[in-house]
Amino acid sequence: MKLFQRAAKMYSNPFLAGVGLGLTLLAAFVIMGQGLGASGGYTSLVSSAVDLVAPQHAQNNGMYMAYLDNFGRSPLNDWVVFEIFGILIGGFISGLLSGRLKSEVVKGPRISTGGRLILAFCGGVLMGFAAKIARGCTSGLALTGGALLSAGGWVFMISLFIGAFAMAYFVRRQWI
Amino acid sequence: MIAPYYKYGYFGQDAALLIAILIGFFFGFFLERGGLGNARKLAGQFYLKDFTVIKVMFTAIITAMIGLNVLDAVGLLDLSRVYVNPAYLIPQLTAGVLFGAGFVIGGLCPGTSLVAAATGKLDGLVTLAGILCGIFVFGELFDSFTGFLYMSSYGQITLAQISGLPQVIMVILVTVAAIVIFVLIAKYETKKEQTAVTQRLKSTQGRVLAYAAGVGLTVLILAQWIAGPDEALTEQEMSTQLQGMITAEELATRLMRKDDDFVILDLRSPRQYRVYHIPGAQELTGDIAFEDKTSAIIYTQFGELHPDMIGKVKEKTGLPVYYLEGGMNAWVRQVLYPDLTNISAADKRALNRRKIMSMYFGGYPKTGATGESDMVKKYKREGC
Repeated sequence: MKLFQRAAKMYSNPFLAGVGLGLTLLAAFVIMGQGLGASGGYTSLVSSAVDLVAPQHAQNNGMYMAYLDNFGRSPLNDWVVFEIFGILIGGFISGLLSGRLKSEVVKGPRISTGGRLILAFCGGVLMGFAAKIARGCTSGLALTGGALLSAGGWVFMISLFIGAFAMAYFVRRQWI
Repeated sequence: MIAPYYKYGYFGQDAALLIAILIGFFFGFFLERGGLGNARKLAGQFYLKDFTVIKVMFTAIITAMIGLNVLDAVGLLDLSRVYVNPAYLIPQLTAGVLFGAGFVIGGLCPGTSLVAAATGKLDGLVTLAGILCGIFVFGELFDSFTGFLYMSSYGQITLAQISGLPQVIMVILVTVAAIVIFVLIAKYETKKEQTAVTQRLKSTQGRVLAYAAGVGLTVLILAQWIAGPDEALTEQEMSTQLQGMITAEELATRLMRKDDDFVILDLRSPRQYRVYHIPGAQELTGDIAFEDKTSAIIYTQFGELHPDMIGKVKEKTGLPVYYLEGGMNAWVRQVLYPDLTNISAADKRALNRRKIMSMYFGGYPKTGATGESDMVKKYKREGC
């Protein structure tokens, strides 16, 4: 179902999008002295939720506390939390302008919608877990750390590609 | 006005949050624009059907990397104040493989699943829910595998520091590698005729990209050349300005004995100071309390020093300056989390002394035996 009637445009040239993304990252470095992120903001959300349901439990846990103890401010009053809110708006506006707002499930032709959603959830769990071990995800560690020549960022990026290529064969029915 | 502006206090926290939304906006916008809100395009990378991920990511990396280093070289930005992701090499290597597997199973990553959800893709929303669950599972298990999580911690180390190559050379190497990869991809796509022509690297665009990178690198090299050799002191210069050095173990021993007629000064960024500093250390930027002290011990992240730092310390305190050999990195590796597996058990006194030292400062020693101290509960939030 199309949410707004507008002819879908082609995606822009990836190199142009890359330069745009790179300049955005550069702006973050220049203005804030830190790069982009995503999983860090989600961790603030999860920690806040746990704190809301079981405050005692959250406060006895080193990981939740690292995010709840936000220099005396609310854990949601955090740079990355606001930044992911911006991602949501930016993605929506770009989709709107190019006619790509469409309620759908993106998948290959050889898998059912239900199957695709189950795999999407499982992949998500794995990524959320792994991002916490690595202290960052594709945005916060691979992209940001990559531009800063961070050793941790490059190690993560290279092993990410290895893991993905190694796993690809087993889930090929989902995509091709 | 020198960047990063936030670190130099040009605006406060409220303005920073507004900027966060703006930067996030462009982040989300360009991800969607480039097609990274579409799981099939992302996953296509790993079947060599669609190279959008590599194209967008590497273009973004070299753009930001060259920009950062040029701004640093011409003096508009202080790169040492930009937060570099700390390295925990073995956990990051393992997590990378897991994350990559999750990436091709789910088709989207944490940032791109949000973009997919924002444009109505249900699979994006479900991936996002999975990610939140994964973080929750990690949180619940966190206390049971801290030993693994803190393995092979190298601090905020860069490829240039690890390889010993100058930063400029590293920047050039990464740029050349990215351009070679782009050319190989373009050849492959032309042969297979699989990618829409508009998505390919056209020869004109390729030239523009290569020229832009070339101009950036030239400016970088020229600026470095004009600025002269790296400001880091030669050993000879250092010995004339510094009173001497102290090792991390010596410093720890003196602190434990309360033999502290010195003031410790942290010369790293305010954020690094806030995350962790040697107990009792003060920031150079603030008002320093140094009555009755007879010397100053300074430290940086890796033990690197710049001539103006020592001058500033002398100007502010008038005390003879010593510096911590190896900086914070040495403190973390020798005092907080020492690897004691190689000290023979026979040398019980040395082993115990190091263990007590580590635990005294809130770390934990790595020993051959299991059942490590559970004093380590501190997980650092991601810097981003």
